[in-house]
Amino acid sequence: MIFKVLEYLGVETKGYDRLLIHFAALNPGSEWICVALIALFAAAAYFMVKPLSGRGRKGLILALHLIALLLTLSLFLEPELRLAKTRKLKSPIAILIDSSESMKVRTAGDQTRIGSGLSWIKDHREFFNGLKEDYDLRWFSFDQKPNPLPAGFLDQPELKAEGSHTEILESLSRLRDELGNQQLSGVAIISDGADQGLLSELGSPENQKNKAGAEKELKKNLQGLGKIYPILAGSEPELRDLAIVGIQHDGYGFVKNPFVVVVKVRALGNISDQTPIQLFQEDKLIASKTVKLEPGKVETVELEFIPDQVGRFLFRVETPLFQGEASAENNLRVFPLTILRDRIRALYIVGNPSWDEKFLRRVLEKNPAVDLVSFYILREMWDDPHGSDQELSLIPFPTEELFQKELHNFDLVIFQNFFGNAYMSPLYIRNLRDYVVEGGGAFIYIGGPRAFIKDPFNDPLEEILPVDFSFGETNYQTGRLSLKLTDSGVQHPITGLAGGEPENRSLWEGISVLENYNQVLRPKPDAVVLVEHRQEKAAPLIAVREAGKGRVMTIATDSLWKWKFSQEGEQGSGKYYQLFWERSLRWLMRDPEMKSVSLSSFRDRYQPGEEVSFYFQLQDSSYHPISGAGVSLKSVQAPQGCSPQPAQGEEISPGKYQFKISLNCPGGYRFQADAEKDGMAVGSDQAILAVDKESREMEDLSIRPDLLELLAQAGDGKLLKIPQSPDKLKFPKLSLEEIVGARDFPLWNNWLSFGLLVLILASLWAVRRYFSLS
Amino acid sequence: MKMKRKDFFKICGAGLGSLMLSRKGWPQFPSQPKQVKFDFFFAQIVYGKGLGWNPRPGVARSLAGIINSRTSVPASPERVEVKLNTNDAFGYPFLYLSGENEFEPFSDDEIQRLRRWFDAGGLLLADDALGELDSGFDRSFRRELERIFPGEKLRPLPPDHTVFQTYYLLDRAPGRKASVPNLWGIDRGDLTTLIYSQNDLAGAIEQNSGQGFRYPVTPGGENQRETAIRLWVNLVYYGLCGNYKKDAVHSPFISERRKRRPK
Repeated sequence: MIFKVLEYLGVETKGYDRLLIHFAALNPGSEWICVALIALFAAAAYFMVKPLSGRGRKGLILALHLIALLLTLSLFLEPELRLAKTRKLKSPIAILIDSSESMKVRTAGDQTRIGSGLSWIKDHREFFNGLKEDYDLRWFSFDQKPNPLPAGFLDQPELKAEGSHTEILESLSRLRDELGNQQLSGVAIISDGADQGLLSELGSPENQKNKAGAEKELKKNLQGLGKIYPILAGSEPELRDLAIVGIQHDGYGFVKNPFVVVVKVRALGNISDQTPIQLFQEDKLIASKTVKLEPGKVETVELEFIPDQVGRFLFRVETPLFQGEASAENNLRVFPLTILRDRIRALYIVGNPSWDEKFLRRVLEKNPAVDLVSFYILREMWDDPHGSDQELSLIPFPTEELFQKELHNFDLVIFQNFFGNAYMSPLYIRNLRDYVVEGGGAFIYIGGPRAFIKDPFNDPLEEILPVDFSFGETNYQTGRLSLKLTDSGVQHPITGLAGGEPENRSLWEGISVLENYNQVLRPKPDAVVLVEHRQEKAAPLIAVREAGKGRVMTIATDSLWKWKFSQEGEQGSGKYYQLFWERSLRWLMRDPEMKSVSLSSFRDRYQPGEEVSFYFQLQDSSYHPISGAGVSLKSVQAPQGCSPQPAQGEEISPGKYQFKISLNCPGGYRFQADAEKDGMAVGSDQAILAVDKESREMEDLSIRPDLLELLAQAGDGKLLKIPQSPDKLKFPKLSLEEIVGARDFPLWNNWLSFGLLVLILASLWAVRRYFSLS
Repeated sequence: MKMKRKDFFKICGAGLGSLMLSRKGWPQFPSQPKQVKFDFFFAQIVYGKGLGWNPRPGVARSLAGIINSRTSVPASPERVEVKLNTNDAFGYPFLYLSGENEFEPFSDDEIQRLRRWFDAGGLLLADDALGELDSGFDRSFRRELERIFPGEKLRPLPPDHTVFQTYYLLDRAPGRKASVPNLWGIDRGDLTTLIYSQNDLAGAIEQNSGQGFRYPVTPGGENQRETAIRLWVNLVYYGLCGNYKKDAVHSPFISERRKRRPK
């Protein structure tokens, strides 16, 4: 009819088969303009209509506004009459082929799953060519998203299974975007069903309890995709695989506390009845359990061990590799783990009770991390208690037990104003020296009249202390001390308590209440003197030293308590005294955060091929940054067959260097950074990390026909299993067309439209005047 | 330097001990250092007008004699007088407060300072020198306690309190008198920060210079005095060592000795 009218008006309509209304100015912002115009006209109409009485008047005003609105909208949207030529389209069908890693698992006939899928396509090439007559076949590979395959794929179907993660539903959702939300006739998915995404979640036993809910969710995800035909590639009876499918453990372990690693393993096919699951720390086997595995069932194994060493270590869980296993890489998992000290086991020996002891004891008692064993000499042999031993609470000083048998069980030994000659064998003092130098123990030596005594008995002690003892006859002196924070003390974690250098100097040099000191003391060449006191000449008051594997601290006064007690009186807080001791303990215990030289990576785990940045913090023993050093990084441990190239570092800020390397092989690595300056080694540290595929694709290699069946049900299709014939793939034909040519006739761009709009607006004005509206 | 009597005894004791120890197989005799400083000062609170704060002027010297002869702690024989309107108390974590009669309230400033001193970890020993219930000192002292520790009450120290086992094993707390069988205390955390005796502890140990003890002890006589002396030692050690004797390593020994010790 309209075509005839157009022809009557002289418009050539031949070849056109569609008449459409088209808005030339329609764009993403247009709807807001329309909404604004509608709101404007509605408001104008409302305020004009409100004071009026009588339906007729109101109706007239509203009608005029409506017509004016429509005309105005047409000016903005520019409507056109479109004559269109259309062409019929073939219904699109997408065929997706799973290219995730699990598809490379061998299945029947020594063929991989993906191989069997491709062979199946080849075998039924005719069928697909037949489909092409009525349908538009689009070929895709997928793992997490669909990737279009070349046009000639059907002629030469080739594909590698390298994808890291199978996500079927997510890929289908992205397929819709890929095709511009075009309606599909259907989708065929060739896969093993080993989904790692939403589909496996919806198909989990928990979600299947609410089957209707899961199905609804599935259908929502499959909207617009037509019929869904999953095609199972792979078969299970031939599959043989033992996989570590999960590992759980706490973020940190604590030395001497049981640590549990929960390992989940799954066997497919015929795996030995008695399978050992082993846990290694570095190369040492530390836990093992033998389990009986049922095919297809996940077994949980708890491997428990007691860490005996503080530090960061590479751990690995291993299962044996049986002959014919589908994958070897899922039999091994590596993870780095930090073992911390949960408690500081401190042995505190005091020559005689004093206020210095009282306040240090309070600090140690209040610290929840300290297990304190203390022995005070309450009575000398010449003291007469005027009573029998039974009337006293004194106990024997078990020196043999402590210094011969149990010493290694302590992390820290404190001697406070103590000279052991009267109480213990010189052998025990030698044991104490060895405990520090060889055993890595920590030792604090606090002054007093009985401390720092030059005596052959103390020789082993003197060997490890940061200071030499005085050779003068008077060791212990009284008198007020004037303190000076050394340059080394300014940034040292023990004495750098107040932030910046001026604050720290002011803090320490403002302490004027200390009195009494041990006039000892000449610092050893490798000692770090943190605080000096100035009498006739500067002498070390607080000093530290690395003695062999251990750390030692000396405090050459027994009046540190006065700092705390007087500070409380003057300022109401003894926080710096508390902080000083807390920091001292942490430094002595080699708290990783207090390392002067440290190598660290940003993360513990990296993906294969990912760039790893190492940061190398280089400071001297006084914690001053060392700039301009030559730094290099080398691997000291790497997975078999891998040898990362050494790297040179770049200084990115004073004393902070960066290395960048890329690691490809999965497994555990240990790197060592070395620094040298002026031909001298100035620092070295190690760091560990694991390179591991984030994907758990290869952990569970079982095929999942159950998930594919769910997909088929929700997609109104059928599950096929290779080598079943594809004849059952039945797709509906959609009536789709596209416009191949068009002529537009603007409906708004003429005098009639503009005239009509002016007329309506004028009428409105006139009516307003007539109705006496302002 | 002048040799003190204690040093002389120490050297003699060391010589004797050397012989004893060498017989037991100890390898070497200690060359003990000379003590040139004191670890315990008897610091006493001065309050009010007159000498009401100081009913037992010789107690510091007497106590030093006891501590020096019986324990390893060198104690000063000189008393330190501490006024609460200064920060002097913050040089002495052990304070002694005594009196017989009522006294004027402390100023607010003194109360604040005392509170800070307790919070810092000080131990105050209060001693009613009259040794009687409801004395003037007792009334005033309790009034001041209400101000220092509002809402807190003195509670009797239990028999297993550390103060009864810091050096001697004790089960009574007498002084010159035995009006009250126990000590009273107020705790801060796991430590008792204030200990109060109503039995005139100082009266039991105060000596006339070289003339023996100044006051008779009633009703227990010299046995009671010895217990009071021991209690003083324990109090000083409690101030210095806190709950050291509650450490797990001591418990079985102490428990066993309590069972066996002579009554």
